[in-house]
Amino acid sequence: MHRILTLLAASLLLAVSARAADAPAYETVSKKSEIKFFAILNNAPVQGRFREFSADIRFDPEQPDKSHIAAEVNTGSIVVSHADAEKNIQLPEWLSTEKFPKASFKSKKITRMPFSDNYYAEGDMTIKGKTAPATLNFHLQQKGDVAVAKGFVTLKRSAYGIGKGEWAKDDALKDEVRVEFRIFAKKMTK
Amino acid sequence: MPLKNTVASYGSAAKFFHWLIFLLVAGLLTVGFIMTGREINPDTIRLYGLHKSIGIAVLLLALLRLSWRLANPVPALPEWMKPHERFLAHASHWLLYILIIVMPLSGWLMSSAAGFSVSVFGRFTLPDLVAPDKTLAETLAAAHGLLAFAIIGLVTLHAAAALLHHFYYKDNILRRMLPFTREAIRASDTDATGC
Repeated sequence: MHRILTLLAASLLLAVSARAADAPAYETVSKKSEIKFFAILNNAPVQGRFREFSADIRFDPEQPDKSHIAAEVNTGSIVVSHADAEKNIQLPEWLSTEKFPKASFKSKKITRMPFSDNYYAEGDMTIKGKTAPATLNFHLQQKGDVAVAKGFVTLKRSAYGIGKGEWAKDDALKDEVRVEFRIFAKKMTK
Repeated sequence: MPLKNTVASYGSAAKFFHWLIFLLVAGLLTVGFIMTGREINPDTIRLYGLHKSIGIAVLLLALLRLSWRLANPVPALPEWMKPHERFLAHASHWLLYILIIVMPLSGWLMSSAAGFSVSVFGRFTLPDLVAPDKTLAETLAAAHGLLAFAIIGLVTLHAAAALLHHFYYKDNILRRMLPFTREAIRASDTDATGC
């Protein structure tokens, strides 16, 4: 009896672990990927990007519910076209990159939109130590071992305390910031 | 007062352009110095937006004004003026035309290079003239600042000359550009060959 139970438990465990390994792991090719963001300042678009980021992706298009995305961005790697702005945006009132060197997204649920290569990933976005729900919208293109995910997420900077004091509620710099990403990933061969 | 210039005086169109652009440029210089002297906060950002919007308005007005100027004769300079005096007058006027066009253009270029597109009164955004480039932005910022001082210098010279003509030479040079005056054509006026 005891033996049978152990066998049952073992096989169950095996089955579960085998399930989790179903979604193949991908590694991002940073040189071919980019994360950009767009904000509206004085009714005109301003943009920037992050040079350093990584993503832990386990993805199976046939089983989006078993897929998982965990992305991390080095906030200090931010680049904007104006030298002063690039310095200021790293200050405590803005991204506070010294105290919070990383921003991250962890998906909780990935859904594939029917009959398409469009997905949305609901999860938690953590910036400046604050976590708020966020949904990534992306299109996935797969060719053999290579996958390219192109999408965006719209964030409210107020949810993360980006821009304090007079900037917090001022429309001179709009609350919504659009982050666009293009992640080029290769299936990890293990 | 006629719309077009006559042999004796500027018409209402020329006067309108002249004084409106002067007022706007004076305003731009004031706002420009104030906004660059303040700390960067949302209100300062809005001042920048206002400055850029009015700047583009001046660019448009300057182009219209130049077109009007090229399509119309201008009242002649007083006969007694010597060749070098005429040269100074013509040169400073043309330089002013060039400055009111180059100045807003340099601002637009600088904004483009700095990655801050120009929004005109929040209604539409102008295309960027150049791609973002930190070094270029700094150079253009310096140019825009230098041009501001050039304009201040030249406008001061221009106004001083007008006052000189009015109070010292006692001719009608200033009067014929003043709004609400009407200069009659006199026998002493020659045909309109211009500035």
